[in-house]
Amino acid sequence: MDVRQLRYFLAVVDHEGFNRAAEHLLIAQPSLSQTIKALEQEVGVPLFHRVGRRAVLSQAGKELVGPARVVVRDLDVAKSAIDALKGVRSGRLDLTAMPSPGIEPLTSMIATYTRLHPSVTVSVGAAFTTEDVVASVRNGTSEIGILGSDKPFRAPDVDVMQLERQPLVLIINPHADVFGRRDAIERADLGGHRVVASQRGSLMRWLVDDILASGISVEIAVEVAHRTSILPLVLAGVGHAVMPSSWAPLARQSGLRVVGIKPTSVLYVAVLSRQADLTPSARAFLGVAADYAASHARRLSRLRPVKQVFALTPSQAAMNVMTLAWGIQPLQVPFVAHPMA
Amino acid sequence: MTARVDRVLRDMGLAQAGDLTVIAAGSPPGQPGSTNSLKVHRVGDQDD
Repeated sequence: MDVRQLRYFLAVVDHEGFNRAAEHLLIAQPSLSQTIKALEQEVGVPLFHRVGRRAVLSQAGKELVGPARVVVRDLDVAKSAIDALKGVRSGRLDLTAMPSPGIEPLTSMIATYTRLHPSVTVSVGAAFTTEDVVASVRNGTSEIGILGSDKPFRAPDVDVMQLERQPLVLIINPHADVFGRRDAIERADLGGHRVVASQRGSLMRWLVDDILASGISVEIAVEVAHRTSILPLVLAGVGHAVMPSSWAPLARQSGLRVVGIKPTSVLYVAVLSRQADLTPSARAFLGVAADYAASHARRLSRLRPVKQVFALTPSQAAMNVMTLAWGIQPLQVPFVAHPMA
Repeated sequence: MTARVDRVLRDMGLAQAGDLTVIAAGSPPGQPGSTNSLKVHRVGDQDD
């Protein structure tokens, strides 16, 4: 007895006859009859009573219907599980992200990814240091890591895709906004001001400490581990905050003012992945990330520019995507420490 | 940034002094879709 025989048997039951079952199965009727006959010989009893042109289930046939459906359905489930492994039709994507890159660019990339692959469940774990992100990718806890560091990140045995730079900005306490209408302030302008700072170890805290070390008297009003507490504390008038620009849209939506800090410090955002054996869902995410890195040029490309467009990027992933963007000539340039300065 | 673009284009022989360019950039980076600065720049000018 094999699953093909059982499928044919169920088709005859469901379509109430050999002719319509054969039509449905896209096979010739005699070959269907032969298959059922072989099955009947094997079990030793007739499964159908032939009544004129109709086929009526025998008692043995009725007994077989339930178990046959179970076998066929289980096999279908097993097959779809294997199919899912071969393609990104369903499944799961495990990411680990640090807090600031976890806001942007991660949100934009996940929005694109879930639109392209709606059946994949994305799980984002938290890490607070670059070491933790690297460890989670190396030990397989997550397939993709997203981190920010004070210089272009490098690590052996993992693939690193440079994504973007986020300048650190000042989110201004509305109760102490003495900075006028300027787009950017100098570090020295922070003298005498109270700030809400994260705990030691983050780039934004490092900048505050660096400003302090240069002799400018900034007062740390609150030191808080939860990044999500910082904007509410600024809103409550506790102090200003130094944060990567990924927080700026949220801050502006809350009615807060955001300005640059000169000289500019930047957070380098990178996507990490294992070097081999990525699942299709993880490979698809790397594609979305590369598109993100090249998104500026891709938008220009869509306008079908008649003038030559040169796109400067330090990111190899962005280079690869832009090579195929209409009208764009990508140029790879080295990272610079202070691109905004 | 303008000075960098200027230097790269000239070093690679893609533009020469006097050529008109339009420099488009998103600033600050980190916000997708943020092309918010456009600068008309004549190659060779020190106008940053």
